[in-house]
Amino acid sequence: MRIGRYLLRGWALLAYLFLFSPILMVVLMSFSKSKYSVFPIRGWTTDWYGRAFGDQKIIDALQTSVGIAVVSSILATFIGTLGAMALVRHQFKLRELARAYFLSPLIIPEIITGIALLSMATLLNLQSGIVLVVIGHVLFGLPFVVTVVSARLYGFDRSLEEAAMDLGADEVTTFRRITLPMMTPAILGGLLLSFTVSFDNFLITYLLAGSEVMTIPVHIYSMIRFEFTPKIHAISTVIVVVSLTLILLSQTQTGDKRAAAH
Amino acid sequence: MSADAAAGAAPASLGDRLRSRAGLRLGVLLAPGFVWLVIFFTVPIALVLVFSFYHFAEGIMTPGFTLDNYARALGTDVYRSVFMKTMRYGLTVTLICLIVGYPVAYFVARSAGRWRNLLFVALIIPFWTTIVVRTFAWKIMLGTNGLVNYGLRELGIIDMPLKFLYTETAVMVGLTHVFLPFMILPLYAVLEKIDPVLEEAAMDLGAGRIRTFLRVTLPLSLPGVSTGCLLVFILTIGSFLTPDILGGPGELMIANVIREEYYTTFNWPFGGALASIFLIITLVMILVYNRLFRFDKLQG
Amino acid sequence: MTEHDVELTRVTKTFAEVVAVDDVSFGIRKGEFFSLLGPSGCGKTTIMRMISGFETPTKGTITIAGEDMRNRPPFRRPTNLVFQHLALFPHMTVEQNIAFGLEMQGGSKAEIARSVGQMLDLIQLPEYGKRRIGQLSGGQKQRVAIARALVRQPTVLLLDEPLGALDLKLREQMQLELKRIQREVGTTFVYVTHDQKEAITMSNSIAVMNAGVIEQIGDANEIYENPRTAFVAHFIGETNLFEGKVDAMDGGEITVGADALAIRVPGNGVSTGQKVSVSVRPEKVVLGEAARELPNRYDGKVEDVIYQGSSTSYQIRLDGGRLVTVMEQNVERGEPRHAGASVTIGWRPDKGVLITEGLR
Repeated sequence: MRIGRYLLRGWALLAYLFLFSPILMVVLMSFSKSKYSVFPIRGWTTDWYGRAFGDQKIIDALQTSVGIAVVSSILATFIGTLGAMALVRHQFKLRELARAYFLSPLIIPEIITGIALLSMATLLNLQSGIVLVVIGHVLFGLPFVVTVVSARLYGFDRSLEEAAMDLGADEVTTFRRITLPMMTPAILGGLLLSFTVSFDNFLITYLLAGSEVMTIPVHIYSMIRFEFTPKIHAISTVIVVVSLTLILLSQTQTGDKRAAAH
Repeated sequence: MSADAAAGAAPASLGDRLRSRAGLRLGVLLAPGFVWLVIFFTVPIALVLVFSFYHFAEGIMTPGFTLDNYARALGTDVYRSVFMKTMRYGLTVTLICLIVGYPVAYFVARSAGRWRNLLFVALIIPFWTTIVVRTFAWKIMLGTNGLVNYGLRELGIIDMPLKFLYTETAVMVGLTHVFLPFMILPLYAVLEKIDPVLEEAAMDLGAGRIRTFLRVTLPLSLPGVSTGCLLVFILTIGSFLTPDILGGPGELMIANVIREEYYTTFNWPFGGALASIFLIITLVMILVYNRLFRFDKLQG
Repeated sequence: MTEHDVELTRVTKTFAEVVAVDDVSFGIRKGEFFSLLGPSGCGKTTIMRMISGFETPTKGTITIAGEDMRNRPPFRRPTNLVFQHLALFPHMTVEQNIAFGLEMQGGSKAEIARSVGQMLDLIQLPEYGKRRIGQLSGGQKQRVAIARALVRQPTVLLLDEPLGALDLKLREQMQLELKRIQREVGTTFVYVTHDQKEAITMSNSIAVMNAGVIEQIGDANEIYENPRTAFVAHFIGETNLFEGKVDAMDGGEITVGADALAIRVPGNGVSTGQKVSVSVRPEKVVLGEAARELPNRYDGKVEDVIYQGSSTSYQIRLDGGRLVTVMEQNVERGEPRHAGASVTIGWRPDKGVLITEGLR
């Protein structure tokens, strides 16, 4: 009985090690003096951070990433929140199908969505890579926003709204004073998640951005492929830290961990 | 108020609702999402399907209707083997994730309150770290001078560094790393809801630990198992980046080949045929899952 | 009758095919503590939601203070509701919760603050205004919910089983508290509950509901001592119900044949052979010596004894096979009767109640 427990704990420990060691490795490497990704590490430095942030291409890519993520997360949150309200607050036939439709961009392979948007763009002679990328990122943000916001709405006690009306608030006031403030954490959570989805996205961006638009994951990819430099370690570490912060923030916002994860 | 009154009644058809005021509201709420999904998701995918029937000659796509692209996709050994390999990777990674992930999910679900939250958040951190960085990290780990080779040498297991990079092993490791959380999270969600008292009851009734697990815990966690397996399988077979960075030419998966057709040879009809076959495989998987899952429910 | 604060006239409510409230009419007098009592699903909550405006009657009219409430949304009615799970706004403080209804009416900040202060005094939580809802105990939340509803000085305050979630001790305290608040403000209270003890303790007037209809309206004593239907007799307190037929009539007294027993009970307006029931409360039945001279007198054996301290409850199997519950006050010190003992039970004819309505 004891042994079983220890085995389980050991197994879990190894799994966590497996999940984290590569990321920790990148963080460690970012402080390594060597120009190559060599283990063990012989000397320490913070130079690579300075060089990474001195690299105009990296700075540009970061800015592009943030810009795209801001726009697409706001769009996804707006559209997704409305959708979640429809799915939770209204009863209609095919509601489950409508829900599945909102979640489907997650299940259909990204490569297919990518070439599909490429096909459409070519047909319409749409040449702005950045618009296409935002369109794609909104598609991937939607499922997360819908899930997080509807989880909150399901837990929402309708009698709070009735109480407000009973106390003299009309429908608009009730929405403004009760429904919206109660939903704000979930909406913020959805916003953070869709921001992260966009900021982290690689494939859609890689396929649709064209040569002028470069986000940070795509830039890292091309550095890995074509001009390896330890700046990758530094900038990767920065991204890990940013993602971590965003996720912890969204956790405190939603309070519903399962919804955030799925 | 009409929404409240209707909530007690049987669900009306979408058409009926659209005629009423609540229906108008429903329409306004659904419209942005539906418009976005139809224009930027459904229609483009339909375009891929349409193009897959077009002709392609000398670098130019011409409208028409031909099944040649499908015949070539299904009839050529190279492409058949890519599909087979993709499926094989999918099944292998799913199985590995299930075996590795189940005990972890169980461990987290049965941990005491504060620990559980910490372990849970720890699980979703790699989940939310961009795949580019995670895959790159494995490139460093598995390199000739990487941690893995260093560790093996220090332990005296090997003398010369092993070649991990650009092999199937590297791709498997990378894929498992990327998709393991997708297995653990649904498993955890289900296991967490199983009352430990049920396991105690089984033991009280004379079942040992193994039989308690096989007869109580495992059957109750099957919905999580099926969801996790579906997610991992579908995501794995759609992988692009991991085989691209960690694999050699022999490890290319279907997504890599589709991209080649679209961006290198510009043979959209043929790429479209590959994509359509891939899409159909994915949809069939989801339908099968739905069937099995409902079947489970009937049995429960 | 204009003295009524709330008047329901032939109100019916159907959901899809289900009739939740079936042709109900009654009035609630000004300043009354009125209880709607019944098992879950009897329609009491639907009636309350129709009065507060969250449901619209399918048929019939509801007037409050003489005004027809048709097409009046909840936020324009002179009613306020204490919700079953209280529905306090978790993102606001105690003060903000109580002030909410006043803000909706408009009015100066100072006025609102003064009214909120008065309310906090009334519910005896003067120091709690700045607290968050999550920091309150169950009983305190209860009081805040009442204050939030009362601050608008509604004509009618509706309470939807608000004490259901509290433990017994706290519930009894809150019952007294509610009575005190009602005496102080003098507002009409409509109280929905499935707990007959609660209704009896608190109400001036009780409407007993079952399956969408009102079975009886009256004060607690009236409903307990003179149940009009078998349902009321059963639902309020315990009773022995004898179902049978009128065998004979003798002036104001009739004889009912039920379960092979002849039971004498006061009654008129019935005819021989008519199906009737007789309800006899357990505490109105006497045992042993005391039963000797009574017209309703039967022999049996003690089958079960439940000792309850101040009283003892006996299950007596009569010789004809019928089981009767008898409650005896433990006036004397000493042991109760033992199971298996032979015993005579009986009651005076006027202790029984003849029931002619709502028979199964």
